[in-house]
Amino acid sequence: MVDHDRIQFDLVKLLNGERILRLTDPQSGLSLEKKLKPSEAVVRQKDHLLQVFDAALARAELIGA
Amino acid sequence: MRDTTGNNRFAPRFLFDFDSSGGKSGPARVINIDSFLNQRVGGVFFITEIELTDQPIEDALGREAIAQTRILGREFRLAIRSGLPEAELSITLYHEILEAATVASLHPPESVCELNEAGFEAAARQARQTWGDASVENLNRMLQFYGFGEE
Repeated sequence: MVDHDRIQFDLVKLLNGERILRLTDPQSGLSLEKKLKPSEAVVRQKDHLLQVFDAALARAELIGA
Repeated sequence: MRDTTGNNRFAPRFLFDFDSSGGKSGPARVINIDSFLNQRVGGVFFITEIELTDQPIEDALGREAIAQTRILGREFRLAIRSGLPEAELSITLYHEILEAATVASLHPPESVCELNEAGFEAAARQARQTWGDASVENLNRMLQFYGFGEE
């Protein structure tokens, strides 16, 4: 599991009111973002994105090894 | 602290509210953005950058944004479009900080775990109603209310 404190999180509020959550690993540059569903809890959406990001990061590290 | 306007970066930057006085008695200072800089909030978080900018904020894909909060570990870096009415700026600050603290926490307090975007917005509006305009002290009051800083 990726170190939570190592990830950069960006919360972006777009002009049209939509909210973007972007996760970036500063070391590899890998970035993943999601437009947050307005009706769903932010914590759950973040946790889900974090799981996907963790898997993508592990895959990227495997390919780069 | 970046200053994209070319102004003296050490000069205090204030939001002036002309509406409350009807523009007749001069501007009333409301929020000093610099007062948030390098301040600890919620016990463990630091606001390391905060900027009110009249320049368009664009994300990586060129989409225009009205606010962006970057979270790295316990550090928050905020950029907010200038020109918001005083009340909306306060609500935006409450909203950004509460949501940032939630996202930054590996195990956020239960009181915020079920909040969706509308929930954070409602919490921010309620915070302004309860504690007044955003200030470091009031951000801390809000975060404490929601259970941050009790770890």
